[in-house]
Amino acid sequence: MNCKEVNGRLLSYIHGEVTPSEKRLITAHLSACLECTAKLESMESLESRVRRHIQQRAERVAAPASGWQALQARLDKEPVSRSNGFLSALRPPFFGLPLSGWQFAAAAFLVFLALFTLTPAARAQMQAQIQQIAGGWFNFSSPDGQSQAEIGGFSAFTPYHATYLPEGFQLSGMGGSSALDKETITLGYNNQEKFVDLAQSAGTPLEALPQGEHLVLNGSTAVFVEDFARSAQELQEKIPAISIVIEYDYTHTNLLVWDMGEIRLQMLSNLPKDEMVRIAESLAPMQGGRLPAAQTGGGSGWGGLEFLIILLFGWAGIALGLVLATLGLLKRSLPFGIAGLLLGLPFSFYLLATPSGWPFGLSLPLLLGVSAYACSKPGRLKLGWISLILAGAIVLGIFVLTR
Amino acid sequence: MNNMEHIQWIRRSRAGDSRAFAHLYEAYKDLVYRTAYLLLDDPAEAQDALQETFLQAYRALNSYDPRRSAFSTWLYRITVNHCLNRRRARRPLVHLPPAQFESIASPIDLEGEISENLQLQRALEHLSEKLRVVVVLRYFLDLSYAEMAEVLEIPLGTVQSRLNQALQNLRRALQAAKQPGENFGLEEEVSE
Repeated sequence: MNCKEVNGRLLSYIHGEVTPSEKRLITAHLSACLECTAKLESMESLESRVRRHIQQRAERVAAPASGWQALQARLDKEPVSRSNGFLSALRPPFFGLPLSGWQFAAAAFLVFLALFTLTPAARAQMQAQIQQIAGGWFNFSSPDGQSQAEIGGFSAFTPYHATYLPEGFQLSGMGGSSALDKETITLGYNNQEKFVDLAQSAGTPLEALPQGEHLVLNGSTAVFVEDFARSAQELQEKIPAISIVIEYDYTHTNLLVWDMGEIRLQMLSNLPKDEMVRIAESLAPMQGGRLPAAQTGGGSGWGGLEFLIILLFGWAGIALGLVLATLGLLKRSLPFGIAGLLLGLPFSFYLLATPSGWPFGLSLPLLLGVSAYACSKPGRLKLGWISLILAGAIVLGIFVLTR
Repeated sequence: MNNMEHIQWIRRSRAGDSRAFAHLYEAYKDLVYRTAYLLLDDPAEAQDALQETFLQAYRALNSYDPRRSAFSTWLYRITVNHCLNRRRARRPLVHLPPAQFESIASPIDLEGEISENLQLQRALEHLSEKLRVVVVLRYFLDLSYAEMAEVLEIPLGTVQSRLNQALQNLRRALQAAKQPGENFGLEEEVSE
């Protein structure tokens, strides 16, 4: 430490308000620097003079003896009821524990959340519920009416499914990805070594159609690319995300690309062109709707909680959380800050489960936590407001992006 | 003072027991009164501040949370806020120019210590509100930096810088008073 640094900390040093390492550094400097030692002594002398003066001045006066009577006369006029029922019930001890009602609620909620996230079955059920709330669930039946399937968690568009399939074809798989800016659903159909892969995506501006033979499909332009790939390897190179199935024959893989409204459809198949076109022309929108609770994993007890979950995990929960956090900072009330944080947790949990939303899912609780902390630390109010504004900006940004 | 006893008194006061509140009043009346006196420089106003502080405390007793701050800290916050509001409501004081100040100080100059105390008192009175409050909290109430930060609802670093600034200003003012004709040194007060 140099003289300037020591000078700036001298008063804190005298008051013992420095860290042990600072204390060592300052003591070491003082033992070697006469100038700073002189300043220390002068500071101590001024301090003791100020202290003596103030103490003497204060001791010359005392509270008037009649003060209490005068005060009591005024207190008697105050309203009698001094308890504020509901809020006083939230003060410790709560259930005999040295916790306030808020802390108790927070602890209970965290235990509940921990139990939930640690149990795989419960977690799967929860995620299904979240997806059901966050996006639409759709169901459709196979062309022969023999089987039913559901797909869900998507909100950008209503997907299509084939109402015509060649003899022996059946649904072999479904997949999808949901990001803030793009959602894609892939349906796979097959019959031994023949296959049809139908990818549908929406969200980003449509790219130009590829080069190929132009066709008219349901009134709009489509492009057919014969022998788009002649081997599994070539197909993999052209579409890295594709899953190769070894049983399939990829030597004549055709591509059919077209748009339906804002949805881009791509069909990859080793069927001949006319069959592909026929399937494409048969596409019909899936039936949108809720998946029956029983099919999400048998949680029959979920029905009554569904409304609560929608509130908690949706915009209502996070909006209320932000309002409470704001009140917490305005009123400098820790319970409000904590309530804001707790209400922000489900929404953050949902964000964590989305491919591009997870950084926000991590940062939201952190920011709301800082804001709650600031509610109880008057000196940290500015930090609290900055955190809360950032959290609000994240929520607003997600709201705008997903509308 | 016994903390458990305090909490009992607070609890009973909340339930409307004015005798319990009388105990709290007795325990703190002098500290509150003297703090107000040091901030307002007027015994009558300090008496008024004492009444108002306890009345406000009584009304707000339900919002006091013993886990967040000591009762004394909470009470001092009410005191300080009341006194500062009171000062702000006053008409601005006319600060005497240095020449006139000297003429007032000179006759008592013969008395050594009295003169020194007067100089110090004048210097204290010339401190800005913000600096004066930290001086009173530190040198009268003996609060730690953390307690001062809590009372004033400002960061710890600001407490430290205000206290430094206050002592610097006092030193300058005292030096200037020793050298007649020189600037009293009070205009140099730097805001943070």
